[in-house]
Amino acid sequence: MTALLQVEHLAASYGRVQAVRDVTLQVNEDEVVAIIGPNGAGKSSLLNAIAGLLPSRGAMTFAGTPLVGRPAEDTVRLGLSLVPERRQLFASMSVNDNLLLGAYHRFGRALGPAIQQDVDAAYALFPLLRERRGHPAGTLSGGMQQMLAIGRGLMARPRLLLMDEPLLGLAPLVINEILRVLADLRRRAQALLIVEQNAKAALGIADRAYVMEGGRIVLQGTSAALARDPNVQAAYLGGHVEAGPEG
Amino acid sequence: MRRARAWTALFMAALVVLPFLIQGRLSLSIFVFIGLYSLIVLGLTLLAGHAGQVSLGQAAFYGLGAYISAITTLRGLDPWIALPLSVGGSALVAFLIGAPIFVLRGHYLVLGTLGFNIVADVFIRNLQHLTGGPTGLTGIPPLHIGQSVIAGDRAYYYLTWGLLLAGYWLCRNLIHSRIGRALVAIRSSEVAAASLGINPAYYKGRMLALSAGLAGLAGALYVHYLSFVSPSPFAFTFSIDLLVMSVLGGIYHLPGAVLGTGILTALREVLRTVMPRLLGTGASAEYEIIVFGLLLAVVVILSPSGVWPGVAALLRIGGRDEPAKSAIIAREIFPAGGTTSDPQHETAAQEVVLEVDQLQKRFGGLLAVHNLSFSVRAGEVYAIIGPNGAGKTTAFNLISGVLRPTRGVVRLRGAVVTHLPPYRIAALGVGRTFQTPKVFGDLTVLENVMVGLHRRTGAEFFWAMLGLGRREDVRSQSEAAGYLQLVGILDRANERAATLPFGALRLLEIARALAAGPRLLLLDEPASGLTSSERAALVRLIRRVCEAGVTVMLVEHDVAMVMGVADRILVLNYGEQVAEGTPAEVRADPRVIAAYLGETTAEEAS
Amino acid sequence: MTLSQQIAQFIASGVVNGTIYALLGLGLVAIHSVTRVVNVAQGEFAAFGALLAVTLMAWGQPLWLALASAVVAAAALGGLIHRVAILPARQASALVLLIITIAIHLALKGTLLLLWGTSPYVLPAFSAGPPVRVFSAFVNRQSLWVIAITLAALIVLFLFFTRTIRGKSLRACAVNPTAARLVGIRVERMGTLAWAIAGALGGLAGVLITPLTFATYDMGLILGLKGFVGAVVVGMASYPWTVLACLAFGIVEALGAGLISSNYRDAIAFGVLIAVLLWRALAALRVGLIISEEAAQE
Repeated sequence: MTALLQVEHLAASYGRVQAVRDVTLQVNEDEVVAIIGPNGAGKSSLLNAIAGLLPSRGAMTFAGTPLVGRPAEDTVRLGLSLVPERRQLFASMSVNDNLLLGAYHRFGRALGPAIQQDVDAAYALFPLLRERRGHPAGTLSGGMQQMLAIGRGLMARPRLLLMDEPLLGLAPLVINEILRVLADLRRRAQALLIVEQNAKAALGIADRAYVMEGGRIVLQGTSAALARDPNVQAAYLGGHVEAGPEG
Repeated sequence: MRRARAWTALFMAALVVLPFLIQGRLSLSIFVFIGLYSLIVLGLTLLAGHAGQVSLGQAAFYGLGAYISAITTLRGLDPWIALPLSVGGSALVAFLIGAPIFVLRGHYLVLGTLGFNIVADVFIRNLQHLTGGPTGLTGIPPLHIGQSVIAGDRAYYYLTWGLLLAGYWLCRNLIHSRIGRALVAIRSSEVAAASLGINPAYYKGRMLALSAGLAGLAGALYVHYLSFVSPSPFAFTFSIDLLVMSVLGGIYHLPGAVLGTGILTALREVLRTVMPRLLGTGASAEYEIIVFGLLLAVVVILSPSGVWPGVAALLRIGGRDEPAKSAIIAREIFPAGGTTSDPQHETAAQEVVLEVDQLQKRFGGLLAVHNLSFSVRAGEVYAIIGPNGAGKTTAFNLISGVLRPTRGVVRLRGAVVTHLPPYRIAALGVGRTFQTPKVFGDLTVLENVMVGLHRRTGAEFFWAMLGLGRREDVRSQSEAAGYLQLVGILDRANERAATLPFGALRLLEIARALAAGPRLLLLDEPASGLTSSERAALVRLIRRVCEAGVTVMLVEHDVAMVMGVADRILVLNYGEQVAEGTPAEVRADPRVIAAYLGETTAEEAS
Repeated sequence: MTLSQQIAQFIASGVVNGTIYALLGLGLVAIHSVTRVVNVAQGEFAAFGALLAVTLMAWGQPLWLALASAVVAAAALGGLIHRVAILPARQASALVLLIITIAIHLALKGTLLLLWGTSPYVLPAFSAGPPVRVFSAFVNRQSLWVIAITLAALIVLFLFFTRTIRGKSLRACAVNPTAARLVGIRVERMGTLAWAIAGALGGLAGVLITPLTFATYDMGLILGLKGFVGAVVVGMASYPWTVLACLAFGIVEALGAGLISSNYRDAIAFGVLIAVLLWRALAALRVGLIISEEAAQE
């Protein structure tokens, strides 16, 4: 198993705030890795830095190619696609257009039919989207918007799909839907790096996970191990470890 | 400071002797026009640079003043009365147009003033019986002192520059007064200014009126200088020229108004005389326009703040005046156990300071906050926590008036405040800080806090322009210093706020909010971005603020910190309340743990 | 002519003017939505296109070739301006960018004056023949050409934006620049494309209107302004609404000039604009549009 994404001592700031202080992690091919932790830990900033939306310092390589200093328009062409926090859809454009645009960097190199095939595959994965293919993306419910965002991210045929808080603001039933989709992607050996606040759900789907707090990785391990670790709860709710009902 | 005074004295001396120096070689009239245009550009620089509002209609106000004076004096009114009438008339018209339009954003003001300019031009040309139409009016009576008439280049040169210097002095006083600080605040962040009780529209409207008044004065002087007026100088193309003069000189600096005007007017003259000689043809007009365009583009791209900062550096004049350091007295405003601010802000314990009832906010299809009902009692620390996306900051925005609820009521000490604009709610005693600090970067740290004192001080426009607000300002300085000491950044008082490290920015925002003397202080994620020692200091600060009688509400992600400082906690998830109680109760509540760590099965239907 | 015939005549002329304003307004919206700049120099594309077409014809080119070349040249000019003057300054504030476009306006106007002088120039009408009767108005053939060609241009534009990936990516940049970057769209290049489109639309407006009224070096500013009015009134956001607003503006202007006084033509047009702005401001006060830079959703 080769390391697809290798991040070493990464640091990144939003203006004055040092959001990511010192992060080292890796994601291998065919792996689903989660980054969990309380809010304000710097998880989103980390993904933004990897994707090229945020300037960073340190070392990052993707399939051997250095990433630091590369803007987002270039990283997607390398095979790294980000499904951003709060979806960032093209709200006034149709569902179908959003999907097509996801494959933007492939136009010119890929043939039209290949891209159309991928669009059909996206509708197969998310049947509800097909019914609304002509509707503006902004009129969709939260859950469907998230599905569309994931679909758009997949249209780039990424080797690694980054997802920033895919379960944010979604009702529990919808969360189950999304988790099903993620499980499906995992079965298809799509490498995923998921940032999620919802530790339970994330650990349920990932092979390995990192716990981030205050801009650093404070815990890491397999999701099975972390799910049992009381320190995880402490990282979220602060202070001492309770022998509480969830453990 | 001394260098600036020296250069100013030199400049004034040069002004005085200029007519004699150039006698016979150059016409003085161009300098009269530089003075006239500088009056207009002075107002525009104040408006566009300081207040942040771009007007492309100043030529119309110039024309308005000109025609008011021309028409009234031709009908027998004494010119010395016509002059203030021109000033007032222009200002009034500007106020009527500007006041409503300012509620909208920047482009609308540009368009509105430009449209006004065009409309005014058309009316001037067509109301023949009043304005003389395209041919204009002649024989306008000159100004006079007693029996002697004020006529000719030299007289108007001194008169115009005298009035210009007076106007400059008034504007400068205004900038250094509490009004000036309020304007910078509005320009930097209207939301933050409103949270301190400042009504942006009020000030913007008055600034437009002031700039129009100055332009009107220039117009009145113009007609008495030339004894003649016609519509052509007041076309909207001249408004564009005026903006160019302002930007060229430096839109953020008053001296830039004179500098830019001087450069452009002189350049125009040079091009008109030199170019035909160089190129032989009558091609000067085109070159003039091209050269202006290129010059403007180059200056703006290379030095967006205009030419003045470079000149000031050359003359080694300091960028801005620094507040007299002796005024910063490290006074202990908060002795241990003492109270802060006005006694009237003391509220009976257990009184309900804030009551929120069935509050709801919908953004299109998204229900951000739903069915929120809680009350906050005087003197307590009440925290709102919840996972990301739970609606915490939305709740704050609804309470402070930044957002309007779709449904529900917000009450402050019993009075309904639900649909009031933010500056009114702030005036009723609500202060706040913001998720990302909105400090006024161009002001010093001390001045930022002084803006917080805005509502508690009173020097209004005319008072401030005459420089009469100084004593009050000195008092404000020491009071502001007290707040800086309370939060612990007094040593940075004279630094420019934009240069502060992040933790200090947060503290500055708190000091500024406290200076307004609020009953209820809303802190929006004050701990985010702080180191752990900074967080500890923050907790101590919150406790001190509470002891001083201010009720504190807190939205936070750092649950550990909240547990340590809050009296009661409200937990939100998906925009609804999940739990409310003391820290101990909330920490043990399984629903809270579920909300944070996540539940994949729909246990509690929210 | 009876009153109703007169009114029909005014409306007809208003529609023709309105379509010209619409072309300019669309260019302004394209530039503003993608590069966040208010382009004061938009009208200069029209002046440039018109004058260049005249010269090309004088050099022997057939009419249609001259028109097409002028439009292409105006597009190239637009793209060039973006690369040279706007892109280097893209971090600057909105005011500074506005001033830069004012500078461009002055520089272009001066250049046009230098090259073409102050005389008015004329293009021949696109087809000969007497005016045509439409309802109760007599419309000259050039006006019909203006409407027809503009309609064709709008259709092409519509197809471009809705059927081609490049057009969609341009819209995407305007709708959500961050997301656009994430899918690999190079936003700076899209900016150049937007300016080129604006240049083409402006140039087209110029060549269409010149057979009806003269072309001069300084015709640009007022034209651009009127296009701006239509665009701004609907918020500088939507292409279809901009077209409608510009048409409405043209009709109001023509009716005002015709029924009240042609001397007051511009005053009526901009007076209406000020009234609309005031109405919007007061409506916003009532509904409670709060001045908030970020309506922070959690």
